[in-house]
Amino acid sequence: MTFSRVLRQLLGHERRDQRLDRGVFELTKRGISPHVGKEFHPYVASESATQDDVRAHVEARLRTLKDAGLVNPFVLYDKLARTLVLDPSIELRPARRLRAPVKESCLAVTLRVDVIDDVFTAIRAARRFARFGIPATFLLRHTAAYWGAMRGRLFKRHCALGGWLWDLVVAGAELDLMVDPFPFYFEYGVDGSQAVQAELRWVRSAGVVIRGVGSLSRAGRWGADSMEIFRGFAGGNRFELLRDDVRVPLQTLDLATLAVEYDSAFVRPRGELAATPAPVDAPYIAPGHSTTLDAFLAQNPIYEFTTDHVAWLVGHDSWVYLSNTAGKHSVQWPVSFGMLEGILRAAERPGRAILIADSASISGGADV
Amino acid sequence: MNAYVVFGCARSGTTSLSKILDAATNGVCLSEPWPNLTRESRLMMEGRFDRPHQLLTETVVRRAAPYLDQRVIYGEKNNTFGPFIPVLHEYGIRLVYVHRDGRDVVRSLMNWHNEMFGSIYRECSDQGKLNQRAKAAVAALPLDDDHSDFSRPRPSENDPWFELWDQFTRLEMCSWYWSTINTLMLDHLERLPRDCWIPIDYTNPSAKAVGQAVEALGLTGLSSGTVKEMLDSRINSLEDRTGAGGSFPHWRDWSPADRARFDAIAAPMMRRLGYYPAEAFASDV
Repeated sequence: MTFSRVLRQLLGHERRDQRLDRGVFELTKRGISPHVGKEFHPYVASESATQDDVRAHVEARLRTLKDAGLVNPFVLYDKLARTLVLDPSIELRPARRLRAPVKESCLAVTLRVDVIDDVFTAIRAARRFARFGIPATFLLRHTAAYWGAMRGRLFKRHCALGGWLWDLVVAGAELDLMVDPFPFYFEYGVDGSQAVQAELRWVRSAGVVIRGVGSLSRAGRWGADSMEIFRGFAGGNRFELLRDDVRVPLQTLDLATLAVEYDSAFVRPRGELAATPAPVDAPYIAPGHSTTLDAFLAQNPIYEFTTDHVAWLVGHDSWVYLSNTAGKHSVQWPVSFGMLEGILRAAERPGRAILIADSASISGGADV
Repeated sequence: MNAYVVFGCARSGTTSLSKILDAATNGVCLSEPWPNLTRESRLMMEGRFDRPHQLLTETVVRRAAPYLDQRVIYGEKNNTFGPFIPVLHEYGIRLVYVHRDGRDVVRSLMNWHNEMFGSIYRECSDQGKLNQRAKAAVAALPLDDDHSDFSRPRPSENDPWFELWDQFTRLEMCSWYWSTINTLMLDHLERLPRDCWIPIDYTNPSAKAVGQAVEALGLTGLSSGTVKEMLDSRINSLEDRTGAGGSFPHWRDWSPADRARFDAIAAPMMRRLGYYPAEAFASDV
């Protein structure tokens, strides 16, 4: 049966009856997005000749974080580097290699820097890692101010974006795209999965290699995790998200079709979408952050983390740590850097760990 | 052991010399055979590697063995040998040390970065003026696969330039590299009997100088004409590799600031190698 015939049949009946829902489910299961209830505008992007003052925007956020006592000094990158480089039983790997087999005596560790806003610290960090020879993975958010902004129906890329990307490339950073489709659907009525595809295409057309994707993980806000737009990554194998009368298709993109080789979220969707607890946002550093750390890392209703150890920097010398070994989860918070060093030293070998930090969270001077 | 190694700072002419020596009829000279000790060289320089004998036995000696069994003189070129010089000497391996005027080396490194690979001292705050070839090369080489850049030394906390490294231009980083790696090599070599190592100045290499090394190594079948022809072909230069010369200016055309930057870092080694007269600086030369 063709798509148009199915659609005609469906539209001939009441819109919200069970049959329609079944039909939408069937259609979306085949990767077709009918956008029932709302038509999304196509995603259109161009480069901007003028630019927002991203530095001022970033500095304002850093001031807020600093005033709240949440920022770590930049020298933490050096401390991290020394800890990781000097332990011969730790093998540093970029995200694309974390799943590869690990030697009996080794702990494979990926350092993931999530560039939520602060592209300047990210570039500085990438250079610091290059000095030590540390391969780290940087997730770039295509909805951040440094990437661009919606102007009416048009997404305008920041004119300096290309230069920042090449700064990171030359520094040897592994670059992944942090997908963030939901603001397009819910705030602009624009097709968010098209946005992800278009930005991936654009980066590659500039010669920059992107092989992986990660998630902004704002399920607390949107009701779904960004990774759920990818086939096989939706919690409970669901195919749509209904929120504020907007029906958004999930699982519309396919990693292989997009030539994406891995996900740097290192998550596995749950077979059944749990009703409780409600999904929460990732524990990114922010004043007054309401995330329940346990709810995100151990009780996440949408997906579970697959690495043996996850450490997420959430404040000044404050990490949240998830131990995820032998089928048991336990979350520790707050964990100081000294404690984290001890955890990594004592962690069972072989094993895999991922350390995650928002670039802004390690941006301070000696005064923080 | 009838074996030798060729080494020097990168872009000093070591590849050219190894190709010439490889043309001998009674010997081979391999260029950077794998594994080429990139990681271990850096770790050794930082005092973090403690098995140099085992490493060289498993690599250089093992590679040499089948040739030596056939009575073929074995040679290999690797610019990562600097920290291993004492052990190579212990093994009876002869040492061929290639050096070149630091200003020419720095210029060549800058061209290599901008027009060939884009990955020389990747932490430099100026990404450089990369052409399409260099962009494609660096984009395809994430840090974990970049053994060459890892192998280059970085200032330790005891180094006077340690704190300033983040602000260094690439020219300064390359100047520091040339100075540091030559200091390391020469310090090791000067502790050895003078007849155990062969220095060659490759700034303006002559067939005669190469011929003397050929003779000292006992290599045959390399006429002066053959050597001259190979030298003239400028093996492994940017022109040789890409058909075009580099756009980074000759040191005579460097800005006064760049000359001063180079001198601040590299003048002592320039004097030690005889490229500057005692107590002279580039501005005097």
